[in-house]
Parts: sequence; C-alpha cells; structure tokens
Amino acid sequence: MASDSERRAQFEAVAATVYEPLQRYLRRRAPTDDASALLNDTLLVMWRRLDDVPIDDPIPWSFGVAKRCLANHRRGENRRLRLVGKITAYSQAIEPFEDPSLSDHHNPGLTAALGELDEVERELIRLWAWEQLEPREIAVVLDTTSNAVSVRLSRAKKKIEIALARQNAAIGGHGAGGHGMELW
Amino acid sequence: MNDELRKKLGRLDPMPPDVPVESVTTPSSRARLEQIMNTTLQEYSAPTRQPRQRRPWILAAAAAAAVTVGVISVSLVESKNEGGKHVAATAPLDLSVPGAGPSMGSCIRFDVAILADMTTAFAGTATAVDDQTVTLTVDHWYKGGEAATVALHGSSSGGMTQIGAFPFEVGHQYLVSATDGNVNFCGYSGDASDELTAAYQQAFGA
Repeated sequence: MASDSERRAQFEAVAATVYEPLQRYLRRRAPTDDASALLNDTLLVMWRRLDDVPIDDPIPWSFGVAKRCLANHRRGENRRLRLVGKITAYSQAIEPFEDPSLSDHHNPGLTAALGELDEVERELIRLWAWEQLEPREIAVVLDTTSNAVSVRLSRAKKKIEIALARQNAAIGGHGAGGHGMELW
Repeated sequence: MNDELRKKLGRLDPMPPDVPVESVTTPSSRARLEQIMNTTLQEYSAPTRQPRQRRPWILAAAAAAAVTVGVISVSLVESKNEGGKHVAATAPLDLSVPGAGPSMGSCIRFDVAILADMTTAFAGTATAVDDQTVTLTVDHWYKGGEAATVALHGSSSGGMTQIGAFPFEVGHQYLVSATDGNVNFCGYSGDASDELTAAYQQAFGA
C-alpha cells in the first residue's frame, strides 16, 4: 500500500491532468456554480478511489465519475423541487440546465439537426466533438464497449448529415441554382 | 465529413479551448485539493461479493463498518388481508452475519451494482430500539417485500445499537438492504442521507 505522501503525490499528478478538462466537461453540462461543487465531488471520489484510477489515461475515467456525480446532483435537485411543491417545474427539472448544443442560435441548422437526436446520441456527439474523445475513451466514460460507441456514434453522425442535407435541399428548392445554402 | 463535422460542432461548444478555466496551480485550486486530500478515507465495504468492473459507483454516505456483530436475524412482519380481516403474519428470516475471524476482512468497496443485487431493500423509520431488536416502520420498499414493519433482531454482544458502527435512534430514517436475509451494514445500510438515498434510487429505481 502506498504511503500517505506517495498517495498524495499520485493524486496531485492525476489532478493536474484532469483538473481543467473536468471543469470544461462540467461547465458544458451544468451551471457554473453547480459545476464548481461537482468538481469537488468528482475529485473527492477520485481521491477515495485513487487505486482504481487509470494513471496513464485518467481523463475519460474522471468524466465517468463526473457523469455520475452530475446524475446524482440532478436527481437531488429534482427531489428538492418536488419537496417544495414545484411539481409543475418537474418536467423542466429533468433537464435543469439548458443544453448549449440546442440553444446556439447562430447555428440554427446544426442545432436543429442535433435536436433530432435522442439524449444518448447527443451526449455521444458532445463527448466526441467537445471533449475530443475517441470511441474507446467514450466507452470508458459511458461504461460500455468501444464497439457499441462506434456504432451508435456513426448512426448519430449519419442522422445529423441527413438532417442537414434535408435542410439544405429544402432551402435549395426555394433558391436559385438548387445547391442549397450551407447552414452550418 | 468527420473532421469537418467535428469542427462545426465545436463551434457550438460553450467551453472551447480559448475560454479559460481555473488552473490547478492557483491558490484556490490548491486549497480545494488540500481540502480533498485531508478528507478521511473511508473503506466502503460489504461482506462476500466482489465488485464488478466498470460499473456505476456512488459515494456512499454510510461509514464503513468494521463488522463487530455475531449473528443477527431479520423478521419481516408482513401484513396480509385475509377474508377482509387485517392480520399480521410474521415471516421471520434467521440470518447470520460473519462473526469475528479471518473472513471479517472480506468487506468490499461500495458499488451500486452490488447494492442492486441485494434481495431486500427498504427505507424505514426506527420506532423502537433496544439491545436485541430494532423495529422500523417501512416508509418505502425498494425491493423484496411489502411488510409495513421490519424488525431487526440481533444477538451480538454489542447490542443492536452498535451494529454496523452506526447507532439506531428512534425517529430517524434508515436505509436497509439485505442479501438472503443478511443485513449488510457494511456501507450498504445506514442513515438515509442524500447520498445513500441516491445510491438506493440508482440501484432500485425510485
């Protein structure tokens, strides 16, 4: 078993690697104030489970922990809302944080295309495009297989492609030349 | 298409690389890490099962228990409605918890996947506590029963108030899980904290 100083040094090294990516991951998915508390929760879990952290590539693993902290936080928030009688707010409380990938008004075409995906597919797309993870890394975050991620990610990309092509065709049909307008 | 799509999607990113985040070297980051590293490590554990790999894990709230109990039993006092008459039918389960010995060190890390495999799980409020028995009124069954009341019977020398290293107090709510009649106090049962409640909800659904 590692000594206390060795354990601290090991955690310091892991924290140095994951600290900034974790902040980005959480702030993409939670309000800033919550993201700070969730960073604490995530790091605390990592400190306690340091023996399980893959030292050579801790970032995807840390996102997996953050994902569960985030899910717990959302459940707690929903319970709180129910307790104070905000039943009517419940449906919104499921997704208390506006999904930035669906609220960017500068890219209406792409935003609309993402809106056609289900939440699992959108999260795959976020992890791939925003966290810049590859399928094997996404598999670690989502606790599934690399193959399952590859299949589902390809399907999600294809859906986006089709949605964009459809949008372009619709606009092209109304404009000159028929080539459509680049929406994104 | 792949690279182009990734690039285009990146434009929707609310936290692109050029948006700064706090460095790990700032004083507040250092303070955060120090606070975390000064947190007492807890050994989340349960008797018998080995944890599955790469399954969801939640921070358990209940303190890990250095198991000090001998044998306990749980009686599920079930309510049945027979011929319109409300009667109580007792279906006692005599359970054993490993006594002192080498196996006592086999408690394992808390894992929601293991919690989900427990055959009995409920939230209950303690209504009576003595050295041998804790009686709980069931507030919510997560799994494995319908009884209105559950009695935990102990025969350990430490008495029921000491089992699992957490005290039972009348009026307090607890989450209790059991496998094949063995109540698992080793991080899998305890005060109904938000964290443990979240773990139960994740394991069994609300």
